[in-house]
Amino acid sequence: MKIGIPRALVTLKHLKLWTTFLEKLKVEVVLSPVTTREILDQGLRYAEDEACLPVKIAIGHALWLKDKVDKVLIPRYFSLYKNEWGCPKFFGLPDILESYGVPCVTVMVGREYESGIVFVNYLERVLMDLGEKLGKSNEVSEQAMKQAIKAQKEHEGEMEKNYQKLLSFKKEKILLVSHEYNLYDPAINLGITGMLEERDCAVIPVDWIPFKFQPRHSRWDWWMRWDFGTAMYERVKKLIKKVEGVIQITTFACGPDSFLCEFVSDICNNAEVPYMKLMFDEHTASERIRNRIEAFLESLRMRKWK
Amino acid sequence: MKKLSIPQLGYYAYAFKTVGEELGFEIVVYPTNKETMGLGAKYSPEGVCVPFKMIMGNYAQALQKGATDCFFIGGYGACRQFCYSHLYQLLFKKEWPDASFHILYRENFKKVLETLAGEKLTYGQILKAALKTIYKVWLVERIEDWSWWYRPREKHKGETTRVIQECFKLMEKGKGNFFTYRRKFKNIKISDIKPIKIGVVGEIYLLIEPGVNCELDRLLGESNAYIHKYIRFLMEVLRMLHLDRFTLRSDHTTHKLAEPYLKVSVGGHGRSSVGDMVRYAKKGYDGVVHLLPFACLPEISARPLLKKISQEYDLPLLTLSFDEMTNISQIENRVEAFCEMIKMRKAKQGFLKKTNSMSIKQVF
Repeated sequence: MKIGIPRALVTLKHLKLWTTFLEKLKVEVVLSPVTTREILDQGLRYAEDEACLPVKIAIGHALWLKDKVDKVLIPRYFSLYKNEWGCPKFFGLPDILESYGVPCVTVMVGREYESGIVFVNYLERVLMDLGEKLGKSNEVSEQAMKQAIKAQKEHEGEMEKNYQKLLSFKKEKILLVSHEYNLYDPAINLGITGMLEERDCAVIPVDWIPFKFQPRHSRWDWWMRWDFGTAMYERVKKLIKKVEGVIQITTFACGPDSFLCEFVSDICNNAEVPYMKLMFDEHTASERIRNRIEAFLESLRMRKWK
Repeated sequence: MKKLSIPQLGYYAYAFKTVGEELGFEIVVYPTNKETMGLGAKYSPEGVCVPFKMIMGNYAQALQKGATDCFFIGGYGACRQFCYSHLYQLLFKKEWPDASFHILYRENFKKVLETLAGEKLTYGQILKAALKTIYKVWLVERIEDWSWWYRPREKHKGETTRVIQECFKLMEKGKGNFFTYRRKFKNIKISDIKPIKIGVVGEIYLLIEPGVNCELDRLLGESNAYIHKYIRFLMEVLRMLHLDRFTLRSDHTTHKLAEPYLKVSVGGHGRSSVGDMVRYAKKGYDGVVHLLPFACLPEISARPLLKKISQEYDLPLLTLSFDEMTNISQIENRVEAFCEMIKMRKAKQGFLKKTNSMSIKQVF
């Protein structure tokens, strides 16, 4: 059996987890390549015209995998933390892909908030469910699950080490705020990290900052209920005093970001840290982004010099 | 007396006025129009969806008219709506620091109502006000029902629209009851046209706000289409109280109908759009119109599935996406063309049926 994993959308966050788990189950894994022009074009042709760029790219990846594998793994990312949820576009993606003729194998990540079931060790439960769906015995999938979670934790530990190293640098520190799929896909962000590093900056991606979710009980401080939104908000709040500038990457027609940008810029205004919002879509040219970054850095340095 | 600005949900604003009259504060009623769109787009961030901008415009207009308080409900669900009230609070601090903004939750609604009324309230008073409002809401929905039935059949174009305006003028003054409104509608002269049947699905704000959906009810009705909507205010109240299982359209059946296409909730009314479209297809409707704000998260997820249903059941589908730049003539053109197309299709199907049922002797 061959199973394809698209290198797109939220799957990027747990890429290590899914690949190790499937490999340990002795399933052949086909990982789609880094987004090419061909994949992007395929996605643009099939996807809804009002959908955001990451979703279009994800559809392109799934269509690229369609003929090469038996099934494509598209997890439904409902929620990562208790009483929180993700973007609705993640929930319906497997159904949409099936309407385009892509054979999907799905698994619920987190819980479905309507049924009210809360998973405590959600990743373990999710992987066991996936093993059951693929027809593996409990013992085999339990062993694979343990190794997969270990690999994912190692990967996260590495990111934390890198983060500590970055903080000790004596360069200007720029915080890049966005989702994982915008930060690590060069087709979306057009290599913005490289552009900033060329100009002598230390770039800190927001998901490298360690974060532990604390469940909230009062309605009044429980207003941000996107799981990624909570993580982003708390992380920016934690690090805002230590950085010189904040750049937020969003994509056109992204729903959650239209709200999150306002809240992040509010934090930056209160801490008096310069903030820039860059909006990307499939027609964005890298020259435009380079210009804006140069102007932003120039103004940062002028501010310091004053 | 405090003046409260509320989101104007189309004609429902006339019904919501009753709450204020009962509890001792004033609610500003100001129909949504082009000016609201401009003000809303001016004060809100660029990427947010149309309902947010329009409600912002409503607040801005009401504050210009002298409102002191604004309120919005705190939400729950995967749609962006749960975050509205907190972004409003943030923006109000910047734009209008004097105005006080209330967020209404299940836990604090009594407190908010007491601060608005300026005195202690009993639950009895609140219940009485709520029941009176629900009666008014029911009246508004009946008026809409009659207008949907009469508009495609009317002899003189524009008569139904006139009658509706008369009815709501009476309602705003607090006059009239079920029977006076009914009599007004009965006086409309009708011809014996057989209208086409069109179901309307989509996002709730666009379905019930004629100022934003470019008076879609009127446009469809004037092209001889009888329309029907499942998602309406009273239905949503019933759903919130979990009483929908006693109606003909319960959530359970909707989810069952949507199951082959969409297995999980996508937030908002995404799942019920899919379920309702299947329901319309099974009931033999001639077409479905799908309304959504530009880049609405649940409806964008539901749209590819609606297209699939449209192919499978051979049911024409028109999707209209609205933003603050949408023009009435643009919508009018598309709606008219859609209705014409359905009429042609029906005529063709009728002709084919006739020829098939006729025997060879009759033909020659």
